[in-house]
Amino acid sequence: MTASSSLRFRIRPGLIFLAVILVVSYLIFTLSFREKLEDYAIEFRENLTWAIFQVQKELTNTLRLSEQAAAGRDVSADDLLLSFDILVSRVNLVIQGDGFEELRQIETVKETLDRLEQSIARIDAALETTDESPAAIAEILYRVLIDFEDDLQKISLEAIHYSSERNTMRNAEISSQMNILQFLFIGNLVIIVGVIVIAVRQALKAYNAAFKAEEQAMERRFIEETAERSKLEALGSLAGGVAHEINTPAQYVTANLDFLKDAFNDLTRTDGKAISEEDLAYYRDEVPAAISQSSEGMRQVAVIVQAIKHFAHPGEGNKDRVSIPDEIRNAVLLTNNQIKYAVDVSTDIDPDLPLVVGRPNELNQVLINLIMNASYAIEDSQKSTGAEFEMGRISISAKLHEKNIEIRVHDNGPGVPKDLAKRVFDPFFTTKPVGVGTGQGLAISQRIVFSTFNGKLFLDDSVEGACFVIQLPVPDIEPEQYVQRGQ
Amino acid sequence: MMRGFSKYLSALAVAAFSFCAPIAQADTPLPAPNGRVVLEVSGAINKHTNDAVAQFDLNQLKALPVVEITTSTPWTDGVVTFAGVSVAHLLQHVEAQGDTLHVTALNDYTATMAARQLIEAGAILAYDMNGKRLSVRDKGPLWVIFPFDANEAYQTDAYWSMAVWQVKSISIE
Repeated sequence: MTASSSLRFRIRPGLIFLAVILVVSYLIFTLSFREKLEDYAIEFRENLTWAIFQVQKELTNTLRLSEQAAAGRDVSADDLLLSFDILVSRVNLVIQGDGFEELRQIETVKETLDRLEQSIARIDAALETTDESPAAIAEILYRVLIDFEDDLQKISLEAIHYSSERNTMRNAEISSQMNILQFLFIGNLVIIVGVIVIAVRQALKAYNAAFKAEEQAMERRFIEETAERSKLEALGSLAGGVAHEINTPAQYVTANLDFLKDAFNDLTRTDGKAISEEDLAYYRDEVPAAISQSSEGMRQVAVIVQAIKHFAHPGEGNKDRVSIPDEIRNAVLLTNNQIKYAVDVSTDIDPDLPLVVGRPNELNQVLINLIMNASYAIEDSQKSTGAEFEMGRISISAKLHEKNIEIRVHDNGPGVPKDLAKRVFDPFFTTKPVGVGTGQGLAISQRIVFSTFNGKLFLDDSVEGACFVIQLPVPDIEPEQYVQRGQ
Repeated sequence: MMRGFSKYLSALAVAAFSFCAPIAQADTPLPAPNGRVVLEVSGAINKHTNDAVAQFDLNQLKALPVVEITTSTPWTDGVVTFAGVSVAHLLQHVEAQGDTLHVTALNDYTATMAARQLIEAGAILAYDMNGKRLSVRDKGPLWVIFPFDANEAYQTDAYWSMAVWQVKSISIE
């Protein structure tokens, strides 16, 4: 299991848990909200009916007291008036008090309360003129108030009916709002979970990218280290040839210097003997030739030293502009002495090739590797078949081909057998005897071409002999510009 | 709606109440009322007008030190001035021994409240409003009034519900 998938496995139950918690809390909340709503509805109904019930209760009290007084029982005028006053206070409460506005909006309730208020005014007026006997007061109270016994019962039922209807309507309204809320909640939940999922995916992507980058960096380091090592190996194997290349000019430069020394002594002799005309003519011809030859020899030495310096220069990891013709020339120069008795190397390089971007000397290394391989294959083939010696040929071409620069290293050796063609780039694959090749050359070369130049190294099996192709993408900017920049 | 309505409910609160009463006068009865009885105090009291209770007519209540509270209330328009006897003084007058008051209104509603809360807030049993006697129709004859404007804490359901009106009797426990 990769790190990212294990992370995903850890996050998934967390998300499910979060969603379950949210949904359960939401359900509990809505359930308690609906219960509360029901409680409020009941309370509202009780409040409305309570007010009317209070009026009813005091009306009944007053009527019963009045009946008792009329029947001649011991009821004082004060008791009757107190009972009536309490009734009036209850009626006033419903008519004027805060909190009963809705009750007063019910038509029949309003009408009954208005009539009751008028009747109270009538009773008050009648009480002003009556004597203060309980019987007289009771008669007035009873006569006016008895009609309201049924009316109050009616408006009490009306109030219950009203509050039930109102509660039903209000609850339905709130319920529909709750449903909207529910949809919003679910929508939000989906969005939240979606956002979290996206965020997690992004995080995983970033994590994977970082992981990949790290992997690439490791690969890069590996290639650099291996390339450096194999470069040193190549340098070792080239050292003999290169030494010879330097030694030859060094020898004749030394000989020339000896000759020049003698000539100088001869020309500036002080023993009084005159130099012969013949010697003088000889020196006139040979001294400039010796100087010129020495100069050329030293130039050759400088070129070779320059090539070794370039090749041996340790890569610093930074990419730079690389001239393909220079790289090819360098490789040919460095391998020349090693292979010059076995193969002829010819080059066909487009002089206008654009510069490419890569690490200097890595392409050099690849080319040296390909040239040495080709030379080895040709020599080995001749040795093993016992054929008559014949100079081998390696042709190196570098040309623009569509959007790529193609460098072909083509030899006239036996080629790569078809069954091995696929394996030649495998690490540790080699056809050389034990101790001769490490089997790393082509594998490293292929990785260098890919990772440094973003190119390909492959075997072209459509031609005679072996033909290895380095295909490099042309940089995005125009080759001319690039050449200018390169210069 | 609910808050407005609760102003009219005579629900009451419970709390501890205690104070020292002059025990020496325990056997001296309170004078019996001459007029119509407006308040009857019963229960844990040491002073009585007859065997078990202390009854007061309006004149007797008015004879006790008058305390005025000028305040607005949820049931009246604007700021009004109430006059009455302080609950603390009344309880002292009857030498109350209990902490809990059961206040009963004319319609036989009984509400229970803490004596200490009434005393601390300086509540009175009002009989006058703006110099006019509180009639039964105006929530009289007696109305428990707090100095509502004096403290925001008094302008809450807890205190409004203790402002019982049409008070008829108080039983002390």
